[in-house]
Amino acid sequence: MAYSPRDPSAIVPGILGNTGEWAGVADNLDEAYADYAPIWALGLPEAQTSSGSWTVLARWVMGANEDNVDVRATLRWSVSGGATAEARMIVGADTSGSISTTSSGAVTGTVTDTPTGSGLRECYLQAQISSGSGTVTLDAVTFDSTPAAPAAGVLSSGYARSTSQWTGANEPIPSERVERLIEGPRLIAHDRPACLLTWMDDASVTPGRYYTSASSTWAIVERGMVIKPDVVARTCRIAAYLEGATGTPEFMLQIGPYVVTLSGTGWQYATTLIPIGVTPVTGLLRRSAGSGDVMLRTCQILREPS
Amino acid sequence: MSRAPEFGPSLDTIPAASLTDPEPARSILLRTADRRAHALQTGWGARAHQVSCRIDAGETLTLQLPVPPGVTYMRVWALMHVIHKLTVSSDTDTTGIIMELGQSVAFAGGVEVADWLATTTIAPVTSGAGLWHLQVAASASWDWQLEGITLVGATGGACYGVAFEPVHLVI
Repeated sequence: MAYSPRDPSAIVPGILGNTGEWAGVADNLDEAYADYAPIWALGLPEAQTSSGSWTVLARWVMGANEDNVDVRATLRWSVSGGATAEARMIVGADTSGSISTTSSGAVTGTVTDTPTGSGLRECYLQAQISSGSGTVTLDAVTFDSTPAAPAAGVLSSGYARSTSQWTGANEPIPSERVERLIEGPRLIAHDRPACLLTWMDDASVTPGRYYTSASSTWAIVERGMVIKPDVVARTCRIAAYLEGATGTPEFMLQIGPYVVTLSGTGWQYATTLIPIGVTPVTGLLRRSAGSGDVMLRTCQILREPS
Repeated sequence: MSRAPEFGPSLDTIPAASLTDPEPARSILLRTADRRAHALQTGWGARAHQVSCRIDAGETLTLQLPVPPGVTYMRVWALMHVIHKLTVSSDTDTTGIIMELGQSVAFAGGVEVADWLATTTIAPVTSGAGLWHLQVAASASWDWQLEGITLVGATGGACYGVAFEPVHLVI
């Protein structure tokens, strides 16, 4: 059974606690829990490797998911030269099973994982040539969740299933059950923060394919936009993965009137306000110290409250 | 049942609900629960996503796009440079839409001077050239679905980014 919109006009003063509307709202909430799966990351890195050992092609982060609902990465990928390519996903401390392809044209592949742990988790996709000689190309990766029906009891996110079996006619309904109904959507939204923007480069090559700078002067490396993220101005998390073998990367993200600057290698995080409406975003990169190329591998804006 | 999408409240930033026990029985309690669940499944829960790319003339990229519940059309945004032409199609609409930047002056620079184009209106049943929203599902479903999207570049220049904004309708 899927979520099914209720008729708002059926909820009227004097509605009895044993009417079908109460059960319908409770059932719908559990259906929403088992279905809500916004984009967590979606990149078009056009990443490639010809290596016979596992090579990182794409990086992203997964926010929240304290309930550890199942996740999946849906790839569009191919391999040249009649070789066999394999791919797998790492989510925090967990490694998924691997999938393979021999197709020279882009095909869809899906890797899945049941995460463990808690908090923000770093994710990446690895690929290798497992047989023959060729080049594997990752056109796109879509990362989202495949949740199931909520388990009984209070879950790590705070969500608690509110049984649709209420009390007998004209008996009072416990306040806790009503509170669970009202709290449910907030807790689901909190535990599965949508990603509003993903900039993703090939994580395997130096210098990067798109977002590289060898200068100490700020240079625009990408532009984009955040489109109507919410009905109020709100905080979001910025996550950026920066690299530089001998130089220190510094990345500046201008989101409308707000500016965030991140420095150092590896994953760097910040939070910032984001306005309502359509807001232009500009990414600038420079080397703040050292020498050589510095690279932005991934930038995500997550609708995650601070 | 036909029902309009809900775009608020801002579900993950509102304060936690706290009821007294006993709480006076008011229909607004049930209405609030219903409205918030509908917001999660429709307008508030399904927002636009922007992804960077580099699609040159003659290049094709494909991706799998999550389509939210109740959505059959997506507004497509494209960050285009110079005289680039981008054809965007889906598994549902295999003809797709053609987004074309008429700018023929070869500006210096690339992404710094690129312009955004966006689709503006619901497509007719039979699609073709024009700035119509992209159809991403034959009919509205109340589940999240994956839809194949194909991006094809032509006529010089480049596309530096695309965004997909769900069009929420009363269904």
